[in-house]
Amino acid sequence: MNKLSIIFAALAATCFALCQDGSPSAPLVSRNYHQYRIDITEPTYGLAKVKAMIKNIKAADDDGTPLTAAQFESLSVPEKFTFTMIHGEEMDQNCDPMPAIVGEEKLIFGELPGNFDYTAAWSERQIAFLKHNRKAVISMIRKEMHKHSHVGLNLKHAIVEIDAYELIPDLVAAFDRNKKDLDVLTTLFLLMKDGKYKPFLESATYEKCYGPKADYKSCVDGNTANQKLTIQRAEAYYKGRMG
Amino acid sequence: MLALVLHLASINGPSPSPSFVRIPAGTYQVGKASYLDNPLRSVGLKAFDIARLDVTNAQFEEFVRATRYVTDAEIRHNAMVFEPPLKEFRWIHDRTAFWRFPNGVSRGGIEKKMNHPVTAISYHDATEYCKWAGVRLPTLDEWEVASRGGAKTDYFFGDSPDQIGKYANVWHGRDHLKLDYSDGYMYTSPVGSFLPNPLGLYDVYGNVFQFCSGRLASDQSSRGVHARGGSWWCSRNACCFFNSVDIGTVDVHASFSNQGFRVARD
Repeated sequence: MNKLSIIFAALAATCFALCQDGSPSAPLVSRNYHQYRIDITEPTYGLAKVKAMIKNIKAADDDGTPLTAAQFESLSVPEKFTFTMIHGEEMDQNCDPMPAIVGEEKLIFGELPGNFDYTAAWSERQIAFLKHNRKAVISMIRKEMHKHSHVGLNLKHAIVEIDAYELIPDLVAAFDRNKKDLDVLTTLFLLMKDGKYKPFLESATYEKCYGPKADYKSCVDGNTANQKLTIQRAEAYYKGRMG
Repeated sequence: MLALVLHLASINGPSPSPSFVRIPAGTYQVGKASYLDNPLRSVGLKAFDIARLDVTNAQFEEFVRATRYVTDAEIRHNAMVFEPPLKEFRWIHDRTAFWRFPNGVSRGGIEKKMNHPVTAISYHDATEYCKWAGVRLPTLDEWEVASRGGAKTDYFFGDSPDQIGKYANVWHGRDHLKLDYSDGYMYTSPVGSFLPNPLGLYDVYGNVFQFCSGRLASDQSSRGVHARGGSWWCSRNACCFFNSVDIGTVDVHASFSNQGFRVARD
């Protein structure tokens, strides 16, 4: 009986703790969503070859030593794309993480979480590769977006990095297919922000996410109205850029 | 409210002797209600000492001279440095950087900064220093209890970062595209240059991120380690990590010019 009492007490305490957030499953939902946000998409171009190279690099030094310039240049453009999408060559600083918070599945953040489990980042040559091969990279991102239900965090970062506004219709279509992924809307925010799209710069969303009081964790409510407004703005921005 | 009794003591350690603050055994509140990795909770801690100041360049030099220790940045040439203009969260890879030249040889050395916190060292380097000095890194919970100084708010001085400039060397610019010397320092400041927290700990926030031992439930990689407290790089508009609740993650062998440490012991 005593053991049973202890078990019941423990269960009651657990239930009480979980119910603090309004729903018994709220923390688990948020935890799973945070993981979903940081999941990446593995491109298929030369994936086995690239993974083997990365494995060898790490085995050699346990530190992800960058490929030599010759090794990097020997990769084809699609292979470089895969390499860049799944492996950051530089260290990422300590404060890049976006803390996992209760209810984040209902929020549209102003910024994306850090790439590569928060410990690695793209090197200068990886960023240069993305920018110098912008057209090919956009084409490969588009193909990956249509193959997967989730647009990986790495693809989102690449879209922002190369200002791939041409992918706005693809992002909108991806969100229509999967409304769970509110970071697709964050990607649209960032494209409009970096493109200095005036209606967005003058919006309440911009003020909240990028204004004088904003920080890396700033966000707006991910309700249906904000979702629709974001898509309308992004589509108008796209039409304007495409002329 | 949990009582916090302070026992201030100067305890001899590696020369020059760091001064420690005694944190008594007890149950303390840590975390934040909305944070999944650092939820609001009570933790039981044994009594421990924590240094008033971060480890300085002078102290680290003493360690290197005594042991001929070679840091990760010197072996791996992987240090990351900073110099505006840079986009938010962007750093520069500089193969010449290590603790004597935290932002690379071209940006100068530490000759006149021996009383600044040591930087451009990795978590691994910090633990090697600790082994030599007979101390250890504080755990994530110990650091938080010490940083709070009894406060239950995000900052030991309240819930708003408005007063941060009195207590910490942080970045006051809107972004990292321009130099920011508005508080007198762009990079590190001498340890103890700003007001202490209620326990007498200096630079709890800002100046350098302080490595802590311990893991988070969400840790994905065995290479990820943690540091807290924000740094000279941190601004209100970027990470805003100069508080008692946020926990950063970095590679165990990564060296940045805003990473340092303070020590603790049982």
